[in-house]
Amino acid sequence: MTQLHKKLIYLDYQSTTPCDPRVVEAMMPCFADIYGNPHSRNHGFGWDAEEAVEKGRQQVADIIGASSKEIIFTSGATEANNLALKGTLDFYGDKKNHIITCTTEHKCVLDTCRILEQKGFKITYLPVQKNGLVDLNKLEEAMTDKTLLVSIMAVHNEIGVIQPLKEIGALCRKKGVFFHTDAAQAVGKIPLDVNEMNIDLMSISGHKLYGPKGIGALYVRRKPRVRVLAQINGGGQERGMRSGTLSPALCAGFGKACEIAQNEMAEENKKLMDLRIRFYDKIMKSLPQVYLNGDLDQRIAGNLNLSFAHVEGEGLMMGIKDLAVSSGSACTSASLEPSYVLKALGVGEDLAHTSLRIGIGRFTTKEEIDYAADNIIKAVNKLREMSPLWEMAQAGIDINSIEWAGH
Amino acid sequence: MNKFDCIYLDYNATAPILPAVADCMAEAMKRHPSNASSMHRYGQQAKKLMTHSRQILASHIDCPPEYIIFTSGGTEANNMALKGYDWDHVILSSIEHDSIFKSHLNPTLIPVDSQGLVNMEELKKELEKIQGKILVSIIYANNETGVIQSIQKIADIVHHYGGLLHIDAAQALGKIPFSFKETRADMATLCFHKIGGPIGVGALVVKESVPLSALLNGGGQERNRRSGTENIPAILGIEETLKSICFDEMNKRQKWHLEMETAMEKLLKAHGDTPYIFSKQANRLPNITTIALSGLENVTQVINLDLAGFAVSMGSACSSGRVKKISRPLQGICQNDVLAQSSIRISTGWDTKETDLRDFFNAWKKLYLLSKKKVKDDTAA
Repeated sequence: MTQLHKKLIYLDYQSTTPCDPRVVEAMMPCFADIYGNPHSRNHGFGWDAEEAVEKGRQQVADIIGASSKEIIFTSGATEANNLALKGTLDFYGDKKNHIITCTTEHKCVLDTCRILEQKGFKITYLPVQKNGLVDLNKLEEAMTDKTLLVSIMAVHNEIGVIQPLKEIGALCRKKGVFFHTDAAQAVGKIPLDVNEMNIDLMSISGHKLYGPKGIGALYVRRKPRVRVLAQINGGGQERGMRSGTLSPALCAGFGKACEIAQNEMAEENKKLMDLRIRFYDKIMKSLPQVYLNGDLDQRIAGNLNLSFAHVEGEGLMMGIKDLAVSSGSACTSASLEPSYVLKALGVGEDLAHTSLRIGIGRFTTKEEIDYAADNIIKAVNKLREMSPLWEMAQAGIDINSIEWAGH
Repeated sequence: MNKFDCIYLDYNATAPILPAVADCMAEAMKRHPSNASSMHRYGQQAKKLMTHSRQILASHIDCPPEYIIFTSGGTEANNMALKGYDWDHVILSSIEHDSIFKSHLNPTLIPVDSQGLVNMEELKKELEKIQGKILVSIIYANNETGVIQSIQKIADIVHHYGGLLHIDAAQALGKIPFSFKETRADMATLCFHKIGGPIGVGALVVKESVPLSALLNGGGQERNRRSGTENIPAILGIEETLKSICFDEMNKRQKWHLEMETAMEKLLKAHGDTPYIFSKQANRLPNITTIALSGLENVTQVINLDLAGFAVSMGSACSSGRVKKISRPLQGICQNDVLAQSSIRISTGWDTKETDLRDFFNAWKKLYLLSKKKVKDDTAA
């Protein structure tokens, strides 16, 4: 345990994951022997590099039940999301100009949608239910004959909820609307099948599934065919949909990460679920007034998002300095704004401010979980002892009913 | 020698990664999770490392660190420069890389002279005709012939007419001394895998006066100019790559290339042929020779040389699969389809030995003599 005190415990697996050593190992031969630009088709070096790239592509395809021809490598999920939205609108936009997404989507989908709105396209930002899940009836109501695409993230980066992909896919197919899903947090965490789920476009990230950073992919369905106009032009790599020299090492590492995830997902999820239950029970037994954000059942094993009533958010972060956790998504956590996602779920500002995202992953141990839970319990208790709000709440005063004097 | 039993002479496509860079990146990947946007100490540390690398790169190319936007590579950086603003006019040279050429629907093309140098008078003439927001994009050192433009002169002309200048310095960095400030350009594309750095990372250097908006939207990384989780291992790899840059080594390689070219010219002349080495009279990158063997198609040359154990190319790697295509830059320079289609590129780098080029010359000589003999036999028959 003394060792643990010195070490920072990593519980932020939705922000990024450490590279699996087996992934690094798979990348090393590409560094050592494979010289070549995979696009140099006229010497052996290029062929070897291409082979590494294609093997990786197959492994990525396999984990989502796709054909390797449907995988477009990108620099990451952000680029894949940009390509999916802008690329389809660029191709079909003069006929269908409407996209439906959720208020709780990742910044890169929302930000891209905002840009598209400025260009004159129509975007519907669908509210979600209190548990973070999409209401299928509302989704259907939002669809018009101008709707080109529905973009709904498979697993949420902050609250870990799993959307009813199969139902959304079936609805989209029925209505003749493309279904794009940002699956950066889903691939390797839940079983996915693009055909069974009628997914037309899917964004994947390497570094969220123990693979390297700087690589991701966009799955683009071939039958029935979905057309995407390239956003990065040049040498015409990736079947014209995305130019730029591919890194054989990154492709090999990304592929290996998918292969490992595919083989070990079931077992890993059992382990993660045990850890999560252990952590959750500990917290809930020891602390009153802790609220879970997002659905408990429709949720990946490695995520919890908890709000602690009557503590001060920054104080809480200071109190758990040994834990690398996040309050809100990493991309926006530098600004001390409460999470827009929690707001969209109807979580009050106070509780949104005191939320913690606990990301449990492949290398998390039982000891770490115990230490983290104890640490959080201690910090929350300490903060509450000092809090006049907590005192009032204990005395039965409804804090929301108090009219604070201006100052 | 490597497992192909083949000598690699295609550094302008990509270079083998420097062992120190591979180690540094593997180390970074193994160390701990690092998302530079995270608030906790792992995140802070990642950010600190990235800031340091950014500073090293900035001081290496002589610009403020805020100018540097990390991208996924040179292609993305080039796309960003051209698409990041609604330019009224985009002017390019006729020898740009595809990632520039195909990033704009209707650019104006400025011809180059027989050495590949941009025709300044034509550039002035074009600039005089137009008004509004003008972007000129010029490849600083060309990937296919190595010709280096008089970039300051171009910058002065462009600025005189109120335009902005972007330079594609993907092939220049590390091969010739490069100071962003001295080029007087407004934007520059950098790429690191041509000199042994990582593939999958690049940079766009942008002066604060350029009204560029993001190509990739999202989390707002890179001061809102390029979203996406920063590729920390690769960015650390850049820092390591810069350490390896050594112009003395470059000069040495240049000497080898010049010696080889002299031998090639001598051989061709001895057989009554006129040698054609691209951009021979111009200021050129030290690591490249692009030479025509007239009458012998580049595909045939490359395949034969590959069989002889040498990996060379027939122009830019991106388009090398498409055999029939004529290299635009080479065509733009020699204005001769046949010549452009009978040229190969020999480019060297950190792992090249002096004997490599000598051995290559012998193989090339054999190929040339064989083709001469074949022509003779054919004529006799």
